[in-house]
Amino acid sequence: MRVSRQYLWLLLLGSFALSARQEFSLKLKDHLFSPARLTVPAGEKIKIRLINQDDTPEEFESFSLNREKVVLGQSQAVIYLGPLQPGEYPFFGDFHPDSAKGVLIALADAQWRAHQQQQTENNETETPHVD
Amino acid sequence: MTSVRRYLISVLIALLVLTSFLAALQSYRLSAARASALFDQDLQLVAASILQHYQSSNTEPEQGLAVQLMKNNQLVFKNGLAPATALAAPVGFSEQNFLGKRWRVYIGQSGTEWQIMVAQPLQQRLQLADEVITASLYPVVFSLPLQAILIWLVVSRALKPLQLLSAELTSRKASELTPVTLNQVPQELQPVIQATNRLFERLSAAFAREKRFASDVAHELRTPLSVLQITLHNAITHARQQGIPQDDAAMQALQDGVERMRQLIEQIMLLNRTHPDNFQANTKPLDWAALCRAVVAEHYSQIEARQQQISIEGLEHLAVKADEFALRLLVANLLGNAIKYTPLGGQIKLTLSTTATNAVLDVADSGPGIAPEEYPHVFNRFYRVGGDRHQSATPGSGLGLAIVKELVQLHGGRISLGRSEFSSGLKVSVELPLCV
Amino acid sequence: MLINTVLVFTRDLLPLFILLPVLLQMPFGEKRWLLIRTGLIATAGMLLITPALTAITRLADGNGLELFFILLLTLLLLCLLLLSISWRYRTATTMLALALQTIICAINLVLFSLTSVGVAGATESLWLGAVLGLGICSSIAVLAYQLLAELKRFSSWCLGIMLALIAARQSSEAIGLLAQIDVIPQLTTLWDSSNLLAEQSELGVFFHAWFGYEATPDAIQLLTWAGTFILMLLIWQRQMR
Repeated sequence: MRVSRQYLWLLLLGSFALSARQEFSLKLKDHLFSPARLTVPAGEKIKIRLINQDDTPEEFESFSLNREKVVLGQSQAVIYLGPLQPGEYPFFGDFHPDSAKGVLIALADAQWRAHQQQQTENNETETPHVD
Repeated sequence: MTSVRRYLISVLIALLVLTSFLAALQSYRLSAARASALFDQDLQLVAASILQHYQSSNTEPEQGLAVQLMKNNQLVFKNGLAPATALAAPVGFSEQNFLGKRWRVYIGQSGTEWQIMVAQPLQQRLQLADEVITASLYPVVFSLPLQAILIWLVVSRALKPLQLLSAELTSRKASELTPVTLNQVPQELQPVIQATNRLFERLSAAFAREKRFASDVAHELRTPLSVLQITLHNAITHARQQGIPQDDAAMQALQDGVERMRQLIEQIMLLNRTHPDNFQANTKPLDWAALCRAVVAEHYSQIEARQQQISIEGLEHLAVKADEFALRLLVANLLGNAIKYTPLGGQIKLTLSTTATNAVLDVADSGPGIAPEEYPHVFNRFYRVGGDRHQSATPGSGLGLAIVKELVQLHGGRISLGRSEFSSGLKVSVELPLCV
Repeated sequence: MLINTVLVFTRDLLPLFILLPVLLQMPFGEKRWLLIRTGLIATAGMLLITPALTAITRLADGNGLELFFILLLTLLLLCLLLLSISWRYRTATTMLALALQTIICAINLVLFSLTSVGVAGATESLWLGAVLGLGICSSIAVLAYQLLAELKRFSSWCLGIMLALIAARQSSEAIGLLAQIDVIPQLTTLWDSSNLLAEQSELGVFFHAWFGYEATPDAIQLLTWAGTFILMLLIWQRQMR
């Protein structure tokens, strides 16, 4: 048991050290995900920082992503994903599934670049983007 | 072994809980969907009426809803709850987040230029629906204990005859072979009871036959045996008178053998007579001490022949309520055993005493005694201490103590064995209820 | 609100209430004492863990809870393996396995019940949901117990297969958690059967709790599942001989 625990830690540290993952943030406030539509690149390893600004815990759950991650009130958690196939991956908060709903959109390379370009343009023209 | 009752109750309640709870959940889902559809319909109606009115006159729309009106994709009206910019949402129903809430949004179109957005906070809709539907689920949950109790009662009631039958059978004594009678026997149990009763009938007939057989045989053997004994006696006397030489030892052995057989038959008949099923006790107050003295007097010649010392100690008078024949037989049997198993010149002591409720007779001897592990067996019929290694010199049938025990039980008394106060030997204690 | 409470309770409690009837099919002298002692062990464990739960979650860059669950699942898997290898220590291993599963379930429920703290009207919903969830789970346990008792008469393999399925579930669960905290890579999913049987449907929840049904498994998870299942069956066969 002891040996395998040590091995586990090594693996864990190793993977952290190697990870050059793009990070996306997903905020939780009033049991709402923002953004509710999170666009990420497909085919890449990414991580999503889940920031819970509510006082109660929430469980990020996605059946299509095979993820189930508890984040306590007023704290953060990291979800490691990918590489993902292009497509839509719905997710929800297990403890408030009516309001905490969202979808992760994995875009293929070309679309992802187009999306990023649009994002920057949007930011320049200061057009508010409502999800 | 599993209990049918527990199985039925647990499985029935589990099935009931599972199906009713799953059904409750399903009805919750359906009701929620129905409520949602109704709310949607409302939203659509509101949107239509606002569009109509706005185009004719400018009226303030409904409370609690967010409304935006767009003309050629330009926001021309919004109420207090709506965001400041036109909401980018598909036409029709959808769920959107804005202003820190999740909304059910309806986007309607009128012609090509007008577009209306009506949104209702999702929380409000769900809470309303949830309260109504949850209230309807309470009866399901609260009625369950009642249903469980009812199931328990019904199953217990249905299995009652089975329980009664098993109680009736287990409470029976081994000798009780009367037919089982139960009230209101269910159809399924009828064959069981019939089969059991048929078995009991056959068993009791067999027992009766067996019981009668021994005494019948004994009775039938008595007459020819008496004839044999007399004939033997006459033959010996005759031969002696005629001066015909004979083997005295062989003749004596023959006579002894016949005498033993007579005693055995006598005892078998006694045993049958003293059996609780047959014995018609005629109890009256008796003086146990006087009876003991009389029995000792009867046996005195035997005691003297074996040069044994006998003493009667303790109470001079001891009143018990008993059948005279039975009590005499009891004492005679105990004394006979003591005389038989005590060696020449040994000692025999009868002691009479009382306890709080009982009269006690102790018969102690200085014979070889019995090992304590054999105590439970010596009351069995035809059991002889030491089995086949029993001193063959001592005649006996193994029926004496069995008879004594039956007699003691007949009077509601107790019999126990122990070591005598002599250097060796047995002490038999018989307790009978005192005559008050 | 209510339906979600029921779903969460059912989902979190079911693994325990499926493990329980299977393990109780083992030949034990006094089952009541076994259960009482297991309850005491689990309660003691929870009393130790609950105050430290926040600290555990924050361990290892926020992956502490996953690591803790992996540890518990591994121990549980070892208990089930030991139980299949030899029945000699069955009382101890059964108690430990049940206590571990209880602790896993209880941690999830404690986390969930934190959501209703300070929310008006949530406690009522929580209680009703808990009653419904508990009722469903215990009914399933009773029915599974009786069904297994029936099936056991036909073949002793039923017990072995049930144990193997449950063990396979624990290992695939642990592998899923390892992938979640990025210790092992996430491969592309092999298939998507969510149209056929969605994981969030009632049957999906039941199957997930029973043998670890995944609508979108990846190769590592599937191989671990199959490996554990076959290993358990081989061990069982050896014991049967």
